[in-house]
Amino acid sequence: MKNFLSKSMRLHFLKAGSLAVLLVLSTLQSFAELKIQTSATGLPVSEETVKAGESLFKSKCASCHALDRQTTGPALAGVTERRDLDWLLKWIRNNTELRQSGDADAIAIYNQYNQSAMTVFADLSDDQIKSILMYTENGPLAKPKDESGPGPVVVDEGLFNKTNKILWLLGLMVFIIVVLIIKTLDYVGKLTGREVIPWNNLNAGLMLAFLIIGMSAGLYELSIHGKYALLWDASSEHGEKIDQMMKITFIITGFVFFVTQIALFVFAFKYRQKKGVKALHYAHNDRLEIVWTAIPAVVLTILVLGGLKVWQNINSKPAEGTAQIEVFAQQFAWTARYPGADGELGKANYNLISEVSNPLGVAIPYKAKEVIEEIKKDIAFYEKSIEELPEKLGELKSTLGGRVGADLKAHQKQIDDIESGKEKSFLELQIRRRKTQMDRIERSLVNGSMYTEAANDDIVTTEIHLLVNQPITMKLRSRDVIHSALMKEFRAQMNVVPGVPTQFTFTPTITTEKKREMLNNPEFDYHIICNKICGNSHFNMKLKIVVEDQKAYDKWMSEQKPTFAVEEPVMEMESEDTPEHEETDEHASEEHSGEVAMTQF
Amino acid sequence: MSNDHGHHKETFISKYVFSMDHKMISKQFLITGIVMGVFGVAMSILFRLQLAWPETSFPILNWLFGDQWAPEGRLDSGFYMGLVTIHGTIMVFYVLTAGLSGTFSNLLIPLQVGARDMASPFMNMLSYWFFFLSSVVLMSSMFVSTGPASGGWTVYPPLSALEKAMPGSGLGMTLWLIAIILFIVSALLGGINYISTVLNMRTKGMSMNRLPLTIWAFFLTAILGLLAFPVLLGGGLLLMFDRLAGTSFYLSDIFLGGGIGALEQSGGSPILFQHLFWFLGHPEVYIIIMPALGITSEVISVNARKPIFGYTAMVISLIGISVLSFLVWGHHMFITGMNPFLGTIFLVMTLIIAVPSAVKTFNYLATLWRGSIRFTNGMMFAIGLVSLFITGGLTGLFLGNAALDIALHDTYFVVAHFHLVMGSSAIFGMMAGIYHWYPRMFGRTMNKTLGYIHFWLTFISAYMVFFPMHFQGLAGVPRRYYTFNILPEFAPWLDVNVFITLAAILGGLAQILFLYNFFSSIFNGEKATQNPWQANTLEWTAPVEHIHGNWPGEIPTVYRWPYDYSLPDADEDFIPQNVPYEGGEEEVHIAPVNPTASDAKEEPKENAVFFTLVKNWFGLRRA
Repeated sequence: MKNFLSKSMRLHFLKAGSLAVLLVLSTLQSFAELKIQTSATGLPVSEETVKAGESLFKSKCASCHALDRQTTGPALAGVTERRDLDWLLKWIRNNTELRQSGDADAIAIYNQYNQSAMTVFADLSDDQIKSILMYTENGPLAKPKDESGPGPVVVDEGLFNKTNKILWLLGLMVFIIVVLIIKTLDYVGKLTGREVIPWNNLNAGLMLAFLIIGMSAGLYELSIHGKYALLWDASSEHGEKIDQMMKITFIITGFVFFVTQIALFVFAFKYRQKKGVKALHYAHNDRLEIVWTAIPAVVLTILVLGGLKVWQNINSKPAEGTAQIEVFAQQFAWTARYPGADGELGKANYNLISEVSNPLGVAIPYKAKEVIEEIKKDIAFYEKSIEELPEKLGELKSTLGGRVGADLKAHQKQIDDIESGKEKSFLELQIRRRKTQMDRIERSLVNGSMYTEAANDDIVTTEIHLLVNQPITMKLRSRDVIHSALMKEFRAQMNVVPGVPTQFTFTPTITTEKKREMLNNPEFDYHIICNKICGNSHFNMKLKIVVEDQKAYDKWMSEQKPTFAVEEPVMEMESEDTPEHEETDEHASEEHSGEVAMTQF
Repeated sequence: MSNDHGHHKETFISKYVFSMDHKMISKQFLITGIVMGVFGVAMSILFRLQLAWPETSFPILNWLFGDQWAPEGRLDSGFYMGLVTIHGTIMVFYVLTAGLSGTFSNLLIPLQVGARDMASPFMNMLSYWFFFLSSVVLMSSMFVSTGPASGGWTVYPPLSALEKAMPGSGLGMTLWLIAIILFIVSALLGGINYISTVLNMRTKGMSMNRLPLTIWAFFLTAILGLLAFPVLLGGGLLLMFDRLAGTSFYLSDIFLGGGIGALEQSGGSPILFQHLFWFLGHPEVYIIIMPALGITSEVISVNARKPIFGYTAMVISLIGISVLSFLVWGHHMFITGMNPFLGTIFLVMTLIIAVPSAVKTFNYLATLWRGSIRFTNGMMFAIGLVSLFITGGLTGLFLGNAALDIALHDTYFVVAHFHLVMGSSAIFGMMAGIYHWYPRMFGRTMNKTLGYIHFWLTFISAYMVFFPMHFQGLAGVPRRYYTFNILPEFAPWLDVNVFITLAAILGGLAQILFLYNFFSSIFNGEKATQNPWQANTLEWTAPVEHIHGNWPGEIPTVYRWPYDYSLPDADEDFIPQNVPYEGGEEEVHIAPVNPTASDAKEEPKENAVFFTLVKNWFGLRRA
C-alpha cells in the first residue's frame, strides 16, 4: 500500500472498498439510462457508481465546481476527455504536491484561476475519485426544473432575448419622450410667463399618493413574504425568546414607522404653499422637546431591558457536563468532531494540521510524528527546489519561444519570479515556516500536556447529529480565516475566528423529522452555513445538521467509529504488505453496509 | 477684496487645478465625488445582475471585464466580491465622506460663517489632491492581475492579511490600504481646516448660537473625523505590517491551504482589527449622515418658510450623537467572539443613540407643521431624506439589540438597514444640497422639471431596492453571497432579487438624468439670482459671480440667527442674518414663541434650571 496513506486513511480505505464491491455487483444491472457505455476511468459503468460519485461530488466538489459552467473552478463536464486519468487522480488527491513537483499543467491551472489553490483531498481513494469522474462523464448537464434540493434554480433567461431587447428599447424611448414633453411644457411655461404644470400642488399630491401607495405596497409585501421571516417556530429554546423580542420590537417600530411617516407626508401635503397663507413662526417649545426625548427614552429602556435579559440568557455559562462538539471551519468546508465515549474532546493545534494525514490537527502523538515526517520531506523538497532554481530558469527560458497570450504571460511571470529572487525568498520563507512548525511540534511532544487520552476516541464526521431537547455546546475553531456559523432555524450564530476560541450553546427543540412536517417539506434539513466572507467560494459552504430523538441518535452514534483509534482491530493491517484492495474491500463490506461506508467520508 | 489681489494673476492652473479658493475646491470635491459615485453605482448594478440572473450570460460583463473576470459573460465569484468591496469603499468614503462633507464643508463653512476663505487655503488644496490621488489609487486596483480587494469593505483579516487566502488579497489589497491611508490624510487636512475656520474665522456678530445648523453639523463631523480617522490609519498600518513585514498583530493559529501550511505568526487577534476598524467605522456613519442632516435642516427650514424647530435641541442632539457615536462601535461585533459582557454595554449605548436621532426627526416634522412648503428640488430630497432616515433608523433598533443581532447579523437585513439610514439618506441629503446650492456654486439653476423626475424615480427606486431586503434578511439570507443555491429555502428570493435588480437599474437610469441636468446646467442653466430661495444665511449675500475673498468690500456683519422666517410683523417672510434689528425688535428665537401669545410669557419661568444652565453653558442664551 502507498506509503503516504496514514493509518486512519487506511481505515477510510476499507470503507471505500465496500464501494468497490458494490461497483462490481452493479455492473450486472442495466444502464439504459446512462449516457456513456464506457468510462475513461476504466471502471465498469453503473448507476451506483454514478450515484456514489454524485454524492461525493456534492459534498466535496460542488462548493467550487459545477458540471456545466465555470464557478470558482472550471466546469467539470468532459474533464476526463481533457485530462489524462493518472494526472486527474494525482491532481484531485493533492494538487499542491503536483504543482510543486513542477507539473506544467498544474501550474498553468493555478495561474489561470488567479493563483487560488484547490483544496487537497488526500482522503479520497482512487475508486472514489473515479466514481466522481464517472459522475462528471454522466451527470446531468441541464438541471431539470423540478429538481428539489440545492441545485441551481432555472430562471427565465428570455429577459434579454431579442423581443425583450426591443421592449427595453421601447421603454427607453417612452422615457425620453416623457422627458421631452415635460421639457416642452417647461418652455411653454417660460414663454407664456405662467406655470403650465402647477408643480407645487402636483408634488404635494404625489407625496400623499406615495404615502398611500407605498404603505399599501409594504403591507402587501408583508402579506406575501412575511411567512418566510424567521419569527415563528424557532427550533431552539433561546430562539423562542429571540422571536418574542423580535415581535415586540416589530410592534414598537411598526407603530413609530406608521405615525412618523404618515405625519411627514401628510404635513408635506397639507402645508404646501398656498396663496395668502403665511407660515407660522414657531421656533421651539422646550416642553415638547422634553416629551419627545422622554418617550423614546422610556420605550428604548424597555427594549434595552428585554434585550439584555435575552442576551444574558443566551450567553450564560453552560451547565457542567453539557455535551460538546467541535465545529471546524476551513476554506470552504465544515467538519465536526465528536468527543466519543469519554465525552471529552481531545486537544488540537494548528501546528499539527496536515492536509494529508491530520486535517483537523488533533493532538495525538503518532499523528504528530507523522506530521513531522511530512514536514521533513517538505523541507527537503524546498531545499532541493532552491538548488534547482538556476536549472529551472534555464529550462523555462528555453521553452519560452512559441507561446502566446495568457500562456506566455504566466510563463514569463515564472521567469520573472525566479530572476527577481521572489521565488527563492518564498521557498526560504516556507522552509522557515516548516522549521518553526516542526520546532513547535517537537516542543509540544516533549511537554506532552497537549496529548491527552481524550483525543483517541474522537470521531470526525461530515454531518452533525444532535439530540433533541439536550443542550449542546458547539466549540468553534477555524483553520484559516474568519468564518461564521449561521444556523438560522436555531437563531444561532457565532463567528469562527482563528486564534480566538468561540462557542455557542443552545438547545434544539424540534427534530428534523418534525420540522419537515411543520414546513410540509420532506426535503428540509437544518444546516450550518458560512456567514462571514471567507474567500471566493464563501457562498457554498454548508454542513448538514440532523436533530433526532435518542433512539435515532444512538443508532447513528453506534455506526460511528473513533477516527484515530490505535487499538482498533482493523488497524492491525498497517504492516507494509497490506492485502490487496479487493480482499480488504470485501472484508469491510461484510462488516458495514455500503451505505454507511459512504456517509463516513 | 479682489482688488487687493489684483497683482496676483490667476492662470488656468492656479484657478482650476491647484486652486486654493474654497469654492473651486468644493466644486472639485463634488465633481470627483460624482465621478466616483458613477463608478460605485454602476458596480452595484453590475453585481446585482449576477444576483438576479445567476445563470445568464451578459456580454456587457465580458466586454467590460474580459475573460479573466467575466468568462462567458458571467462574473467570476472572486471578482463579484471585488465589485462589492470597491462599491462599498467608494460609496462610504469617496462619495459620502469626501463627496458630501468635502463639498459642502468647503463651500458653506467660509460663506456661512462669513470668512474670506478657509483658515489654511493651502492645506485645503492639499486635502483635495490627496483625495484625488487616493481615488486614482483605488480605481487603479481594479486593473491589477489578481483583482481588487475582495474581502468586503471592512477588510477583516486574516482574509485581507494573507495574500494567498483569496486572489483579491494580493496587490489589490495593498493598493486598497494605500488608497485609504491617502484618504485619511485628506480627511485630516480637511477636518483641521474646517474646525479652525469655524472656531476662529466667524464674522462679527456670528456667535456660536447664530451658526446655521449646517455649520454645526460640518463642525461636529470634522471633530469626529479628526478623532476617529487616525485610529483607522493605525489599524491600516498594522494590517500593512502583517501583510508585508511578517508581523502578527492580527494573525494567530493559522494554517493556510494551497501548499502554504501553518504560518509562523502567533499571538495576534483578528478581533483587534475589528475594534480598530469599527472605532472609526461607527463614527464614520455619523460622519456621513450628520452633514446630510445639517443640509436637510437648512433646506427644510428655508423651503417651509419656517424657523427650524428646536434649534437648541437640534444642536444638543448633534453633540449627543457625536459623543455617543464613539461608544457604540461594538454593536458591529456582538457575535464576532467579543466578550459577551462588552456586548451588554454596547447594546445599551447603541439603543441610547436612537434618542437624539428621534429628537431630530420629530423636530423636522415640527418644522414642516404649519409651514408654507415650496417643493423645490432640494426640499423634495430633504423630505425624502427624513422618510428614509426614519425607515432605516427604526431597523437599527433590531440590529442594535445584541440578542436579535444573533439572528440578523450579516444578513440582508443589515444591508437594508444601512443602505437606507446612511446610504440613501446621505445621498438624498447630498442631492438636496446640490440642488439647493447649485446656484451658489455655478451661478445657474438646475432644470427643476428634470429634478422632479429625478427625485421621484430615485425615491421610488430606493424603497423598491432596499425595502424587500428586510424580508430577505428576516428569512436569514446572508449578504455577500455570489449565488443562493446553497439552500433550497432561498429559492423564493430569486424573484425578489430580479425585482430589486430591475428597481436598481431604474434608479441608475434616473441618475443619468441627474448627470445630464448637472453638467448641462453648468453651461446652459437658467441664470441664478443672488438669493433664489429667499434664504437668510450669509452665502446668499455674496455676489453670484465667484470672486476671490467672497465679498467685495466689507464682510457682512451678523445681527440675528439664520432662521427668521415668516416673522409675524415683518413684511417679507425672511430676514437675512446681516439685517440689523429695528427699534423694539428683539432676538426672539431664544425665547419660546408659542402659537398663543399668552403662553409665550409664562414658558421661560417653567423651564427647568438645568436646561437654562445647559443653554448658558453652550452660549446659546444671550445674557
